[in-house]
Amino acid sequence: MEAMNPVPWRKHEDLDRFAVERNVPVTLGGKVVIADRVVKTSCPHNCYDTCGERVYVKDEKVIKIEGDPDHPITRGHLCLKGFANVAKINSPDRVKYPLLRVGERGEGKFKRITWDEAMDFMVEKLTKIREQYGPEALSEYCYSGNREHMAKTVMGRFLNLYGASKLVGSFCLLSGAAGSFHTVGTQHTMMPDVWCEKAEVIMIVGRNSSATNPHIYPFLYRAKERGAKLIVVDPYATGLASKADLHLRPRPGTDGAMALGMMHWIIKKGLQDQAFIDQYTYGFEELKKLVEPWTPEYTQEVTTIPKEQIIEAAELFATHKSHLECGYGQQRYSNGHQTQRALACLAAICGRIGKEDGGYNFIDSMGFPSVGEHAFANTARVTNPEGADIPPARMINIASFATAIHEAKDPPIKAVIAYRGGLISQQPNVDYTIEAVKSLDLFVVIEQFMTDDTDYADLVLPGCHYLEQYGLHPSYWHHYLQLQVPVCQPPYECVPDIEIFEELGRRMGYEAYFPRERTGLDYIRMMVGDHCDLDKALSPNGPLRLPEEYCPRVPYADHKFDTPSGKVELYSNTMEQRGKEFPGDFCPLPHFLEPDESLPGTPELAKKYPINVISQHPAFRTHSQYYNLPWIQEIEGPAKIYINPEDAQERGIQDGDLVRVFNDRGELVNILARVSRRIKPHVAEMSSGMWVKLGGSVNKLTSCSVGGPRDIMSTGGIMYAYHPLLDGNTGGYFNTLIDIQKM
Amino acid sequence: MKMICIDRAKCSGCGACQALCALEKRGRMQPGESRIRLRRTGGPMLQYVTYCQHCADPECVKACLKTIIHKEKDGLVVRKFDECFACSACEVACPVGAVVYDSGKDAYMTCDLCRGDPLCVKVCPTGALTFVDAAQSSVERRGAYALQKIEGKEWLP
Amino acid sequence: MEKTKQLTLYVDTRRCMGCRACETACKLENALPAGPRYTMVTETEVVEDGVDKLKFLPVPCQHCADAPCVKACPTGALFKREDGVVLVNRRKCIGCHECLWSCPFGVPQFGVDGKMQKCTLCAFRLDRGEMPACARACPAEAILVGTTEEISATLRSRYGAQCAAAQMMSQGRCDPPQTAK
Repeated sequence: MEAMNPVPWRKHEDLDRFAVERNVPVTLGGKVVIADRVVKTSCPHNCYDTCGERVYVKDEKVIKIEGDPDHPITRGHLCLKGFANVAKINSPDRVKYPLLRVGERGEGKFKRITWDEAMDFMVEKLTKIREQYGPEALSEYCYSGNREHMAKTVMGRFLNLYGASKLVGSFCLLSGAAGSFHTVGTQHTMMPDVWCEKAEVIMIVGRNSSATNPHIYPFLYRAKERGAKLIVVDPYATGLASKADLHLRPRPGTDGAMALGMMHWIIKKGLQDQAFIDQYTYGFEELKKLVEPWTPEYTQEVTTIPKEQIIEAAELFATHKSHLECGYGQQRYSNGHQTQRALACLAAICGRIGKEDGGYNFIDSMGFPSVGEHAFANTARVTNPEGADIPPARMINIASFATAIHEAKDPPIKAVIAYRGGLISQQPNVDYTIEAVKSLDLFVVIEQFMTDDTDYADLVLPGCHYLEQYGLHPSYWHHYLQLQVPVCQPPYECVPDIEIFEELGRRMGYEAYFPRERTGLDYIRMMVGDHCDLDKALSPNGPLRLPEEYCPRVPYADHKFDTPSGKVELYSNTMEQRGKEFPGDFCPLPHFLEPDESLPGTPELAKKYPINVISQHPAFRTHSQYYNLPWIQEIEGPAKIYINPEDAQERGIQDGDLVRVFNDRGELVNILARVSRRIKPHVAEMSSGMWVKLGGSVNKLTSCSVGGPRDIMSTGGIMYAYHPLLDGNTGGYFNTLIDIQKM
Repeated sequence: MKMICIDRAKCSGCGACQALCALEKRGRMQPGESRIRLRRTGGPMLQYVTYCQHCADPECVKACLKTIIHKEKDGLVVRKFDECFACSACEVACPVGAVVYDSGKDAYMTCDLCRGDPLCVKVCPTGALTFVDAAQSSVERRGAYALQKIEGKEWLP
Repeated sequence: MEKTKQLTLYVDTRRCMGCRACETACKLENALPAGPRYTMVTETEVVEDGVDKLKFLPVPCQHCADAPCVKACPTGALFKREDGVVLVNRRKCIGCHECLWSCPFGVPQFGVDGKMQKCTLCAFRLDRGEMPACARACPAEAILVGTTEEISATLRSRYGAQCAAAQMMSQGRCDPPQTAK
């Protein structure tokens, strides 16, 4: 057993105070074990469900986990990853101590150093880089590996004091969020326990709940057992689509066109809710003109959905108490913002906003708890401490991160500290990202395992699992908050993220702003203030139903929308206005644009690469996390690509063959081909999140295409003004053309 | 460890495995001395093949009077047949009837998996015999059951 | 114990949606490494009325009333408890695989020691009045454990109304539902 060095500045708190019960018997391996305590927390991964959890701890080790039966939405259930957390947190492969690179970047060769040496290394490098290039040469890379909002706010304080570039944006859902915002203003979702009782038709677009939202099912089935019908829109047959009464399979990137076609038919047949339109919407006449050409025949041509299905879906949706639940798949294209605008307009013209029997869900404003004037979480109290002199800094959009590193000047980006996100495995165009990383003077990665990112790091720091850290992560789907608390002490020399940032801050001269006695819980209280009674969301209490002023039970029951007109804007004034100031596709009507790569849209490219690969988030992982666990690998199996039988036959590929998948950006070899009807001709499907070094990363093939509305590439991903809900941006992962051949 | 797995429902009792094993190991079609043998029990399972299962805790190892049978690290149960004096204790002890008397060697013998490429599996016409590990066999069986159940009568109204 | 009072595990396949939470819940409960899978979710592609669909079915042990594995076991290691649970006594097991060859569902698993292990219907939990781990874990509430009476009652409450309507329609006793305007 290797000796662990003490980390003197790591905080040690009495975690027993979070215990719900002490000396709790629990069954494990056919025996009864007495756990020291059981603690309530919730899962802060990037998924709708944000499950309530009960975690059993013995000798400061997590021995078991189960769902919290007190949670009204997740009802005591977890997903397969939830249970696998016990294996993950106790994995012998965890990074245990700081590691300093000794080989070349990419070789993954390291030597062990102490935390003091690691801190000295970072301080020296960061000081030198600031002297040589200026403070904006530093950027963080942080995303949703642990999506709770407090730690990045603490890092934000450090970065502000240093003068670093600010990381903004998202690369997974802001195009859609902007599309929604430009239509209905601040978004509020309706919880499933409300719509399941009265909705007659439920339409779910771009989501496979089996993989990313399993807790919707009891409510969905309740609705179905009452007689409700389910429509699912997804290019391929998934677990959720298999439960649908009607499954529409659009060509990838054409969900917006489908919505336009549905609206055309609804208006033609006079099925729209004219009273709602007249009272609560703005711009109907312009929308009507837009959808005029979108006949069922034309919509079929563009989307490949049979026109009978478009008509059936339109009539079902418009003539019933319908609920529209949107995932994020439909907006993961360069046209994602307009797709979402069209879907929001569809719900609006059918009057599906402000009613108890169904609504329009995309993402709750709690998904961005710090955005807006009346934000739930005031991050500025942490990021901008009183009395500190914070220089203004440029912004880097995470949806164009590698581009920014390649193109930034005055100063260039020379240092990146990465945590809670797989830069190399999750950003598109792996080779382009790796080139960017190689150009840095400093790449520090805080990680739990040796991943694709750590292979290229100069310094690897042993990070903590979410069960070992505090966190504030309100769900963006339901309205119950359970704060994350450390259920056990961190093992080995692992340090919670905020303590790394605080200690670094102290050593860089900012002691005044990082008092030692402050905990993650203190930061959370600073952010939330009296917006809710946080103690009710803190183990042993919880979960807490968030106040209605932030999360109304029936969104928009008062029909007040924070848009310029105060109504649902079918014609968006905010799009028009923003478009005057910034480049991009700010067309105020939800017109349809072909995605950056598509068969009809880029025919020359399609001649070389005639198959559109989409990459779902499978049940087995949250993005690239859990991939390395033996339990998960055993269930998921090897990297595979689903191909339609027609495409397979053309290429002489049989089910079980090994294939090469390629385009101009890169190639994957020895991928298992699964010939399947679940995917339509000219489309293929490969899971996202597989690690590059394990050979199955679809991001070897994806491009730096970005969803709008704002065009961030024209300034190389660097900007000086940005608003997430006006500007959007999402990675256009799904508009990727490839070809496949037998090995 | 890969082993010979059998789907008894698919076995048609053709005896090809028995015939070719004997041919391979004894040089002639002597079914009684084949290491995979066809039994006809006359009961509901009219045809039933038996062969060495390379048990985790083999009865033959315990029974052998000369302790010349042992289980190797990779799982294979092997015997030093040169030292066998044909007492038949292993044949009596074996619960699946896998041990056969080889008159050529004057010793009791069992299936040795043909050095990793078993002939019986290759010749089985129905695919009842496969050469995979037990975990893989379980996965295949579960999948086959699911397929059969799903293709069967659906009660959905 | 009367056969009707014996416990059974039933998967409501209309509800199973392929999330596999039961698989890792089972692994955790039984402290299993990678290797033995006491339950496993199968995924089958079907075409129903011209529509491509996926069907999922978890396959734990069925704890058969007339268990072929118990009959096939040469050492008597496999036995059926009073309440119907089929268990294996690993001290008696010699790892001969006969149970795997006789099981129509492919349930027996063989771990590193070569001996058989399998789903126990979480007998240890049942004895303490708790539900099996997979049933407790299932987010879709698709796994039902109880007597056949209890399970029937649950299914009737879920689907009874639809079944009654369907039956009446097929007998011409009521009209098909109209799509309401």
